[in-house]
Amino acid sequence: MYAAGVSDQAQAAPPECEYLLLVATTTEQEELEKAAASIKAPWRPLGRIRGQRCFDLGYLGHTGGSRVLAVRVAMGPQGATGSAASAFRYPSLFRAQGMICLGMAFGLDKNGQAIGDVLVSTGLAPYDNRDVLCDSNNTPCHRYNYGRVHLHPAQEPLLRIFERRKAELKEQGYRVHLGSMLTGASRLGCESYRDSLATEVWQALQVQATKPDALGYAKEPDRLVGGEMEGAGFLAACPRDSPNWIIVKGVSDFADGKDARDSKVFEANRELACHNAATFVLTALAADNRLRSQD
Amino acid sequence: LAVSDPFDKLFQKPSVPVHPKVRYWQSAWSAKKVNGLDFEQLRVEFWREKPDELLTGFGPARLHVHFWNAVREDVCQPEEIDWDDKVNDALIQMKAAAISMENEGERFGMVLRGRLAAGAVQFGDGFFNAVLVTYLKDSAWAASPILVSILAGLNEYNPSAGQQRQNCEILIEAAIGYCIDSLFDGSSAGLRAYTKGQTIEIVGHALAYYLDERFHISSRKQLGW
Repeated sequence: MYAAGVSDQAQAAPPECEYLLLVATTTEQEELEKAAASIKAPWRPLGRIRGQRCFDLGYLGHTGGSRVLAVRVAMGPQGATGSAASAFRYPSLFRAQGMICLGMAFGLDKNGQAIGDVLVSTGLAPYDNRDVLCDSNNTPCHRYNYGRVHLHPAQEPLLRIFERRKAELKEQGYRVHLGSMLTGASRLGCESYRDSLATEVWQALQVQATKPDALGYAKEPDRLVGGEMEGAGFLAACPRDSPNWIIVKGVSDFADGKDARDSKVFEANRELACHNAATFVLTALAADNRLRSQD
Repeated sequence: LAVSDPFDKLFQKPSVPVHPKVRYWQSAWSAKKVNGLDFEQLRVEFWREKPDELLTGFGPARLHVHFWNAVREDVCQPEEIDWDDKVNDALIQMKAAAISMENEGERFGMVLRGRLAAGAVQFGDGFFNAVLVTYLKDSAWAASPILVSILAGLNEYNPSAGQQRQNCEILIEAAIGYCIDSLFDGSSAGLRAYTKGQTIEIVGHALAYYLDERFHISSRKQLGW
């Protein structure tokens, strides 16, 4: 019904899936395609649906499990084809139960994380929701107050799938880190800014965790493992108490601006990060489908 | 002298944390007085923005608790609370019916959502969807007027027969059974006073509401499908 290169298929009935993958850059899309090939999953371009390129990866693991589609979005949360607008349109259009945002992210711990490690978001902290204030000494400097930043939990069923996969993995050449992630539209490339951002957001999240809910429960936030850009858009598309998204991204840099000085290294790191994240997600979904098909 | 059995403590009913508002409603209901005012009926109003009110998708759900006099007028400002399955279960235990049958249907649609969430986790979204749609198409619910067109628009593969499918169907039946049990037991007043016919209508509406959200039916319409 859909063919590659067709400009728009506005009149054809859209395909349906259980899981929708979102990629934002050419590298992310290409590495997803390579990862699909490596597990012998199909990769059928569906042309442009509602203006954005879509791909069909079929039923991963076995026929009769969960079908997976992918959509290419613009980088970051903003714009008509950014992650926010896409998160409004495509899950409904494709009847998806969950959205998985793939690609590259920055890590926060150079000692505990390596380029290519995979980060899985247990929750997102949208750091743009902050107060920018004058410095208390009335100097020309400014300071941020992150007291408004709340942690938004990721979809639990998807999180369980990736937790199970992490437990199964042994020698795959990368590690998987589950935790909270920073999200915002900024492209970060400054070590001191990254550190102050992570420290201050973490402190704000911990303060919020001390405020118990009506039943007296207070939840400690999971440690911050990294940061990315597209997740912020998903927070607009669904209520905080019923999320339909999760972020799974490879560490391509540490937001310190150092890797960007050598473009070859930078590109190689990006490819590795995207490939590992895509491979982890596709193998996790395939393994999950196989597990559930066992009687 | 009787010697106390050290196990006795373990056999006492554990105290379950109850939402403070539920405690307040329970005590108001038992006294039939709220803020010093007499009331006759405790009623629930389910409120949630639908996709036609938003760009797509459903908004966050809320419950409004009404304290009505004999002529169904509020004796005071209704209480408002974010949707919480446990709070709603407590209101069901207090036999607090919704303000209308349609509203009851939407409220029980949310009940189904909560009770079926475990199914998607346990069986996977794809398999769960396939079993759910197949189960409903093969059941008496397929003839429910509100469900006919909805089910006709859902195309899921036929799931393979086996223990997994049976277990999934049991979970679906239990969720629907909980709704029926909450709505109908021949009582003369309160939530369980609905007739069999009314109960079928409400649960049909609840299933339609649940399917609408799960399969993005209204949201898709908003997008032109």
